[in-house]
Amino acid sequence: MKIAIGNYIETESFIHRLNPIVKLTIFFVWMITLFMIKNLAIYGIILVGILSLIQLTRLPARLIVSSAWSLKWLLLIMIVFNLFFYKQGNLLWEFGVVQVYDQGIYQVLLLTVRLVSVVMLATMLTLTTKPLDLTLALEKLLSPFKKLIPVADIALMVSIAIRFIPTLIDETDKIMKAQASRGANIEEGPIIQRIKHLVSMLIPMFVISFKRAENLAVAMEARGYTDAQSRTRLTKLSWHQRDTVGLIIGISIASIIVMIGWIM
Amino acid sequence: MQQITLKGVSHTYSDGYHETPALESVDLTVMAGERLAIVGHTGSGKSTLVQHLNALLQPHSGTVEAFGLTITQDAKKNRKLGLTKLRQKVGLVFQYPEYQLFAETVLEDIMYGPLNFGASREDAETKAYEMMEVVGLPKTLADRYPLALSGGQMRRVAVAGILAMNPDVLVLDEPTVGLDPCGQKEMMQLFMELHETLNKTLIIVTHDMDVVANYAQRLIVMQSKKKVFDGQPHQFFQKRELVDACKMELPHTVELVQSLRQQGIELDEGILTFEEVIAALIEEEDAV
Ligand SMILES: Nc1ncnc2c1ncn2[C@@H]1O[C@H](COP(=O)(O)OP(=O)(O)OP(=O)(O)O)[C@@H](O)[C@H]1O
Ligand SMILES: [Mg+2]
Repeated sequence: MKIAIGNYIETESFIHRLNPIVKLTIFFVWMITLFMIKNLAIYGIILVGILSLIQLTRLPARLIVSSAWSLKWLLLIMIVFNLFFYKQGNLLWEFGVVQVYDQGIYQVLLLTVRLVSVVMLATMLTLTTKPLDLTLALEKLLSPFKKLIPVADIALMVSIAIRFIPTLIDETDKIMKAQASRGANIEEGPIIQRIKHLVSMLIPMFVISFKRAENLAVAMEARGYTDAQSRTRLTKLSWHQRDTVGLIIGISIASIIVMIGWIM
Repeated sequence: MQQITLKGVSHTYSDGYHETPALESVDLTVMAGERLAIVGHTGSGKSTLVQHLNALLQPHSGTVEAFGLTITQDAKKNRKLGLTKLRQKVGLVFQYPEYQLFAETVLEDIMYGPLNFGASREDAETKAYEMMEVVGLPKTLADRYPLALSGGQMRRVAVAGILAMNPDVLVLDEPTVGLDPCGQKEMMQLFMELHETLNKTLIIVTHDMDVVANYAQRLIVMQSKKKVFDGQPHQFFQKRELVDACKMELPHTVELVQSLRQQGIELDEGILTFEEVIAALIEEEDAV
């Protein structure tokens, strides 16, 4: 199963047709909301909300859920760290060096639900928004800071980065196959061996990414790219009634969740 | 003797949303010591097919039998088979050498395979030097950074890295793409030598019909996920309709023979190499 983040898939849903500025604004607002909420029960509601949102996008749910599943190793490392090093709250169990505190468990759960929610929302954003529209929206949202930073260039950089996530994943797949052909196996054997094999995959990854970046830069310059500021657009983003409605609903949901958080 | 047998192998790529069927019930038997070429239009499933030979890809239906292992669509069972052993027996060289090279030095990189398969450092090093010579890399390159080499040299390092594992079957996915004509010829000569002196089975994926004409004993033609031809190369070239349907071209020699035949010069249709064309022409002249 591949990671879906960075791909765009057309299903002509309401979410797809929303103005990218609206989607990006709501995404940022919800991110902030997520990091304000510290109550696990509310996360239950949030996760249900995210799952219903997936229904609205008409994308297969397993696609988005699997992008969260790809965090499993990161989460596992985090859990292990917490079990060893988090020493606050009430001691629940103790086995030798491992001491489990209730606060540790709470932290682990909190981080897990936060990360999972963010990744699912980000995947949904990129699946429902064309990379170019996303750039444009980012540029518009950052435009108040035009004087201070090269907004258009940054927007372009971000969208290129997102665009290349699937490509990088494809390349990783190829490299893993090439090294597996020479007996590398990151699934079996002693841990030192496996780390060695992992390194043998990471190095060509970096080399290829740099080469790709270089080629892309040359190709862009060859086609007359100087800077993003002075570029004009072929298409303009238009604002419809549904965008106003979407924005209001999105921000209202965030406000309600924050208010529930205060009350509880 | 049968070395690798594919029975009704199908494979479909999936990214969770799109399903791309790439192989549809392909049967193939590879005999020990033969020289096999696989051709087909781009996207016809050649690379997908050869990756089944060393179990980098596993069939979604059908079976692959090789070196005493039977690989099925059951991934859990396959994992218990010890596929790494198979990968030592069936050496696969990918099209792009930069996907394989990663070590600090050329020598280290070539040693990577043998070390993974349990060779001692000394043995691996001896083997690596030996293989550098076999593929025509000067010893002075041993300490160089592999990714700073030229494309042709990188390709040679990649091939040496696979040869150092001493596989019984050598699978080459487009081994000559991107080499200059001289390098292409050298590379092909090298594979022929390995085939003849060490009796290795050779499987070459290529777009170059002249390679097929000059080097292949047997030809497999892939056309939209299916095997559409399996036999001697000259038999395929005589099937004009099939050649056109597969969007393939004829080798230069075959085209030459065909236009000579149209001119009324009686030449055998089975002629494939320039040497054979010349010999036949001389014979023809003698007869007149
Ligand atoms: N990793 C992958 N993920 C998804 N689809 C793939 C993948 N690799 C190949 N395909 C698809 O499977 C089909 C067969 O591809 P394959 O690489 O086997 O063709 P090929 O005959 O080797 O082509 P070429 O001559 O261009 O190398 C193509 O339609 C291709 O787009
Ligand atoms: Mg291919």
